[in-house]
This record gives sequence, C-alpha cells and structure tokens, in this order.
Amino acid sequence: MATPARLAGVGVFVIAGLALFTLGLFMIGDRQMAFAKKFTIYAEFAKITGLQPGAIIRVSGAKAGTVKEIIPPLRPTDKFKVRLEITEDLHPLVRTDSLATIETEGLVGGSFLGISTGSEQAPPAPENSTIAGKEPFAIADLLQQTSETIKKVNETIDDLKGDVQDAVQSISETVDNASQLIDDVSDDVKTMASAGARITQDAADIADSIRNGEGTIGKLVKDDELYRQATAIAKNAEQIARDAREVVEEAKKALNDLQSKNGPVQGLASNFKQTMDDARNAMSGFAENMEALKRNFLFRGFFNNRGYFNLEDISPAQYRQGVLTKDGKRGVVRIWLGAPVLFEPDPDDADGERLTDAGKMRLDSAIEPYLPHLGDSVLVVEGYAQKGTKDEQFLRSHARASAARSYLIGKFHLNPQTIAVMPLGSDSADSPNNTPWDGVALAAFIDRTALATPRK
Amino acid sequence: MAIVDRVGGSVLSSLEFVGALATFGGRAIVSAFRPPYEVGEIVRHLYQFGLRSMPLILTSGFAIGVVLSMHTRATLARFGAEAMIPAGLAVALVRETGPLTAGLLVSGRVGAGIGAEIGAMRVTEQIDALEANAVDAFKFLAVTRVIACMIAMPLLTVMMDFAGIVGGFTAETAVSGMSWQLYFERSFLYLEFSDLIPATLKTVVFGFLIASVASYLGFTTSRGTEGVGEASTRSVVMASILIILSDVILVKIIFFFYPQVPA
Amino acid sequence: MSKSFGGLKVLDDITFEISKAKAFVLLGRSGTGKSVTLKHIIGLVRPDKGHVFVDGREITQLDARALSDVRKHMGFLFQSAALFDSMTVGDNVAFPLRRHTDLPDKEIRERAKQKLADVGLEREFDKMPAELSGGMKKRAALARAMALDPAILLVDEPSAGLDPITASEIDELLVQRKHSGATIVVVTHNIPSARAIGDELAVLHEGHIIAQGTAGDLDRSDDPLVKTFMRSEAGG
Ligand SMILES: Nc1ncnc2c1ncn2[C@@H]1O[C@H](COP(=O)(O)OP(=O)(O)O)[C@@H](O)[C@H]1O
Ligand SMILES: [Mg+2]
Repeated sequence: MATPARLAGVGVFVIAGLALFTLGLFMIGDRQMAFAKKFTIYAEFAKITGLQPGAIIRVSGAKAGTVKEIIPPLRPTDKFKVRLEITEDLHPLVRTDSLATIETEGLVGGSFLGISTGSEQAPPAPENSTIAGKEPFAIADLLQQTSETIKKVNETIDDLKGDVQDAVQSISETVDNASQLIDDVSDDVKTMASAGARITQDAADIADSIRNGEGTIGKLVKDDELYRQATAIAKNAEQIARDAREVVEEAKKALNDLQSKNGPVQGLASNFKQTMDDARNAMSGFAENMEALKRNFLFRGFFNNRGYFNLEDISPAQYRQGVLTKDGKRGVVRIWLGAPVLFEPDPDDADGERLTDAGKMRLDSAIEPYLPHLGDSVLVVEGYAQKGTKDEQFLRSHARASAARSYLIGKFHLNPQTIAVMPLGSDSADSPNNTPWDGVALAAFIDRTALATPRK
Repeated sequence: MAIVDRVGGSVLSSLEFVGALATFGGRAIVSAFRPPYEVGEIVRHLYQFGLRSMPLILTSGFAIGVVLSMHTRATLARFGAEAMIPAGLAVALVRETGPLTAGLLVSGRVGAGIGAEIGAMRVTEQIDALEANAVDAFKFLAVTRVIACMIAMPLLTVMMDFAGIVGGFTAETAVSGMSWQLYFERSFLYLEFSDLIPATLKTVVFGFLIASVASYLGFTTSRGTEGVGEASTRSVVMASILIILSDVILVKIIFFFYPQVPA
Repeated sequence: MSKSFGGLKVLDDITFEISKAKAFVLLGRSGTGKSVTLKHIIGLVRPDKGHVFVDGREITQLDARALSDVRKHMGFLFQSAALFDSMTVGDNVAFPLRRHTDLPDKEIRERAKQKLADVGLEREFDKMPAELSGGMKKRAALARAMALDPAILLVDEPSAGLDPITASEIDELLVQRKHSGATIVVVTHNIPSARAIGDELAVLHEGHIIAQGTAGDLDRSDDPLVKTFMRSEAGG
C-alpha cells in the first residue's frame, strides 16, 4: 500500500533522478550554448582535418558555439562547407574578413574551429554568409618540412665544408700581397661554415624534440606561426647555401686570378666583397628566424633548458628602470656612435637609412673590446633619433638599432639571443655631455665577475 | 546422435523461452494501457526498486568513478592530457559504464527479488487468491513491476553517473587538488545530448527486461520452495544475459541514429 | 466434468448441483481432487471436458471481465490460506473491500476489523501474516473471503488445524452466512462439522462421486468407504 512515508520516499527518488538528469542536460546545453541566441555562418575548407559536427568554435579564443554540419563537396575542385552556429554575443567580433581555421587542442585533443577577430572597418558577417577558411596544416606536415630542411642544410654544409677548406687552404697558400683579401675571405668563410654547422645542430635538435616529445608533446599545438617559421628556415637555408656556394666560387676564381697574376684583382676583390655582404645578410635573416622559432612556446621549454635568455620581452620602460642591472650582477658599458658616421640615406628606400662602410668599420672597432665577454653577457643596441614626431623617432631609432644589430650578428656570429634592440627614440639620458643623441649606443651588460678577471 | 538431440533440444527450449517471454512482455505492454492502472502498486514497487536501490547504486557508482578515474589518469597522463580526465571519465560513465552497471546491479537486486516474490506467491496460491478476488494478477503483479522498473532504471542510471563523477572527483582531487567546480565543468566538456539521452533512455529497456523476465519466471514457478529459489536465481542470470545482449543491439541502434564520427 | 493434470486423471466425469442458500459439503480422502473441484467453481481451474454453471452462467466460457464480475460475488478460502504476505492481516481483509467498493478508507478499516473480530482475530489487525500460526492464518483468510459478504462462499478445510472450540465457532459463522442467504460449499474432513453445516454431502473417491445426499442418507449407505468416513468423528 502507498503509505504517506513511502510516497514521500518515491517522490524524493523520482525528483532527485529527474533533477540530476535535467542538470546533465543543462550542463551539456550550456556547453553547447543551446540556450543562447545564435546566428549561422559558413566557412569553407579544402581539407577538414578531423573536424566533426559538434566541435567547439572559438572566436578569438572565446568559446562561441558548435559546428553544426559539414557538407561534403560535390566536385573535387569544390570545398567542404562547414555550417557554424555562433552565439550572438560574439557577433560583433565576427566580421566579413574574419578567418576560420581548424585547430587542435593539444596533440590528443579534438579539433576545434577558430575564428579570428575581424577588422574594425569590415562589417559584421551577416547571417548565413560565408567567411574565408584558412587551410589547416598538420603537425605531420611540419615534421616533414623540418626533416627536409635538415636534410638540405646537411647536404649543403657537407658540400661546402670540403670546398671552403680547399678554398681557404689554397688562398692562404697564395701570394702574400693578397693578404688583406685572404683575411677577409677566410674569416667570413669560416664564420659562415660554423654558422651553417650551428644551424644544422639547432634544426636537428628541434626535429628531435618534436619526435621524442621531450615533455612538450602534450602541449604540442598546431600553430601557424611555427609553420611559417619552419618554412622560412627552409628558404633561408637554401639562400645561405646558394650564397655560400657563390662565395666559394668567387674565392676560387680569385685564387685562379691571383695565381695567374694577371687578373683584375681590385675589381674582383670588390665584387667578391659584395657577395660576402649578401651572404652575411642572408645569414642574419636566417638567425632571426631560428631565434623566432626558439621563442615559439612549443620549443620554449626545450630552449630554456639550454639557458637562452629572452631579451625580446623587455620593454623600453623596464629597460630604463634598469631590469638588466637590478640584480647587481652586471655592469653596463656604453659606446656611443653617431648617426652621421654610421648611416647614409638608403637609395632603395626614401625614408630609410643604411649602414655606411665607414659605419660598419666603426661598429667593428667599437665592439672589439667586448667580444671576449659577449658569451656570457648581454649586448643591447640602443637606438636614438631626434628628428620628427615621437612615432617617427621611435621607428627610426628602432630601424637604426636593428640595422646595427643585424650587422653585428652577421659579422661576429653573435648569438641572437644575447643581443637585443632597444628603440629609445629621443630619450638619450646618459649621452656624452647630455646632448640629445642621434644614432646608436652599444650597451654591453657584462658580468662583473668576468670584468674583474678579464680573459686573455 | 544424442549430442545432436541434446543441442537441438536446448536450442528449441531456449527459443521456446524467448517466445514465451516475448509473449509475456508484449502482454504486459498491452495491458499496461488498460485500466485499472494500479498506481498504488507501482508506487510501492518504485519505493522498493528505486529508493531502496539507491544505497547500492550510489556506493557502486562512487567506487566505479574512483577506479575509472585511476585508470584514465594512468592512460591520459602518458599523453600529458590529465586535463581530459574528467571529460574522459564522464563520457565512459554516461555512455556505457553507468547504464550497463546500473542494469546489472538492478537485475541482481530487483530481478532476484521479483523472481522470488512472485514465485513464492505462485506456490503459496497467493496468485490464485488474487484471481479469486477478481483481481487481474498478471497486471497487479507483473505489469506494475515492469512499469516501476522501467521508471526506476533510468533514474538510477543518472544517479549512478553522477555518483561516478563524484567518485572520479574524489580520486582526482586527492591527486591534483582540482576544485569540484572545475572538475564538474570539465566533465561535460565532451558530452553531447546524444550521449546522455539515448544511453539513459536505453535503460528503460533494461528495466523492462529485468522485470519481465523475473515476473515471467516467478509466474511459471512450480515445485514449491525449491522452485522459488530457482526462479530467483534464473531471473538474475537471464536478466543479466538479456541486458548485455540487448545492449549490443541498442548501442547499434543508437549509433545508427547518432553516428559517431571517429575523431 | 473431467480434469487431468499431466497423465493423472483427478476428476472423471463428475456431476453435482448445489442449491441456492444451502451448504454443500465435499468429503473425500486427501488428494482425491476436492480442492481442484472447488477451484473449478470459481474458474481458477478449467475443466478438460464438461461445464460449470454459476447462477446459470457457464463459467468456462466467460471472458476475463465477466469472470471477474462473477468472482466479485464469491468468496474463496484456500486450503493454504494464501494470505498476501506483503500486507498486514488487516490490509488482507480490507483488500477485497478496497478493490471492489467505493467506501471511504475509515469505513473499510472498520469493516475489516469487524470481519476479523468474527473469527476472533481483532487483535491481529496490524500484524503481518508471517507472525500468525497456521490456524490463525486460516481464520484471517476466512475473514478475507467473507469481507464482501459474498453470495457464494467456497471454503477449503476451514477447521483444519483449529482447536475444537474455535472450529465450532467457525462452523457457526458459516451457518450464519447460510441463513443470511449465502450458498456455501465446504471441503472438510471434519465429520461433525460436516453434519453441523451441511444440507447436502458428497463423497469424492478416485475421480467419482461415490455417494451424495444428506448426512442421514450417507449414514445409511452400504458403501464401506462411505461408512468408514461417516463413522470417523474427526477427519484424517
Ligand atoms: N496445479 C496442479 N498441477 C498438477 N497437479 C495438481 C494440481 N493441483 C492438484 N493437482 C493434483 O490433483 C490431485 C488432487 O489434488 P487436490 O484437489 O488438492 O486434493 P484434495 O482432495 O486433497 O484437495 C493431487 O494428486 C494433486 O497432486
Ligand atoms: Mg485439498
């Protein structure tokens, strides 16, 4: 018989069960944003890379809705059409120029669809419109790319090693009156060869860390930036290889000419110098890319372990407050270099400047005393500019510092991690005689202990 | 020849059993829609099958949650995906572990009870006494139990799911100190309506099978007290087998309506 | 009317008629099919061959609903009492009232109490059947059978396991029911109570009714079996 106590018990049971079920439905609905007002748009992809209906959509990282449907293409040339339901709250961010990308949440996570915030000028994407989709790349593609790069660089370096050695050897064995040229050539070629070797090592390390998943595999995220960098490295490696080969060719030619003693030695020498410059620039570009790759968070843990310093994160304000000297371990030494000596207007760029040959020599001599310390110190190239508005000052000071830095990295084979640019605009606080400074300053932050016992 | 005969005979008798059971179940469904609805009896059984099963279901669910959590942790930690433990556990619980375990537990607790109770009523002529009192014994005893069991089963399953999530949380928070709010939120990360609703509703079928089989075996009890014990045991065995077999079919059906795209 | 279970022929073409408002007593040795005969009358068992008429209606031909209507006017005391052991004794007696009357619950409880008092069990109202002795169960079951004051009362061995005093009280109760117009069919081994209640007696043996008539008629029978039966004072 249904006594009141029993009825109450059954009531508790049924209500508790139904309440939990409703809670479950609500939690799922809440996650799927089933209860929010939504709008529908489409995105098109040639490859959907594991995206499936129900996958989460993120607009600039914010959870925004779910993929409702994936409509397969009718022809091979057509694309998959993906129907997206996005919460109305985030509609203002989804513009006609927003980009849709298929991304992965970690290596083991499911795919989700990311939509980038559009630009201010573009109107919000209308209901049922189609936004552009950026084709995804898979981690496998990246790995492939990296492997190919390594292979290519390895081959080039192997090829070069022999050639370079031959060339250097032959040159040093040649006539004495070409000693200036020999110095130039042998230094540059050696630098290049060793830079090449280091690049190979770094690239191999990266590839290994991807393969072995040294603690990073869980964090492995599909990352466009990473892909871009890997591609750039591959391109750079080719460029360097080409330049290096050219240097070697030129060196050989020079050698022959010198040996025959009737060639236009002077003309050849300047020609040769130009080639060397190109190679150096290419190398510094390459170094930049390597650096960017190292900063990529995927490899950050890996490179941090190897003791790299992240200078890039220091803002001018922090710099001015003395973050680099705060712990008292380092002392700073500045060498002031004026713009008139260093720079001349760039013939290729109306507003731009480029380093003059005299400027390069000035930089060479300025940095020389600090070279023994640079391994464990930090070099900051401070840029200064007095002309124009604050913006212009900033940009010019940045450009100046960057040009000097690139040159120094290329010339002295500096570790890009230990040399930074600091665009300080017109704010030249410690300049000689407190004159407003135009140009750059090389600020070497040197370990006090290293200074106390200078190396030989 | 003897073996062939024996095998043939057992095939025949199991076919007979299935046929009789299907007829019994079909009759139960048809007669459920005719008055009188015996609400009082249904409530009484709901109390027995539902509220009284809660301690069993909640403790088992909790324990299963703890164990599953430890297993998923071991597996997912290898991929550095500890953050997915709540979601992985919840998906496993809601889709299959919860419904199936709840079904088997209920078939043990409730199925045995129904088989024994109706069996005893059969051998002590209580079923005849009901009939003599102008009561439809089939409806009064079997249909009310079938309905109560069909109502109780999904509710118990949901409770089991949640108890499992709480158990998983307990194991997780002991290791990583994760907060309940975050754990609960993450539990629903990969759950879809198509996970929760069909998996929960399929236990209505389990409930139907448990109560039908047990009632049928109870009704067909003979040979006194010994027969009662046998009805009870066979109820559990047959209900468990039928639950697992029907689960295969039900999962197939669910997949047909909600295709699972491999990730 | 005939009935077999498996290969066992329990009833072999028996025929009898019971008059309204009379008491019919069915005698016979254990296992001769008395209980089976009684169950035929209420339709719990269907004959292999033959007919059962109650109030002129052929029981074996009725559908479930009509049979149920007929049963509402019948009370049945099972040999095994068959109390519902999931309910209290009081609820057992109230059960037919709850099912088949629209009386308020208070009224139903009062009537159930009264019926239990009739059989001397008013104090057992809230007990569970399992707490009762065999004889008490039998009396409670009789109270349930009489709860609706049925026009036809079928009782299977009402006095088995009862002391002689209680047994005669039960007999008195049945006689009262008969006087208030009910038709009563009693299966018993108790010859004194058969004599006390029965207007007509029948002896069942090996599937046949071997003797039928008033107590006096049977006393005069020269069938040795019947003679032995009528001479035994308390049934065996
Ligand atoms: N449901 C049944 N199934 C099989 N045999 C039965 C059934 N009911 C009664 N019998 C058999 O019928 C015979 C008569 O039983 P019963 O009518 O109970 O005897 P009694 O005259 O002692 O009341 C017995 O041999 C009994 O075994
Ligand atoms: Mg009997």
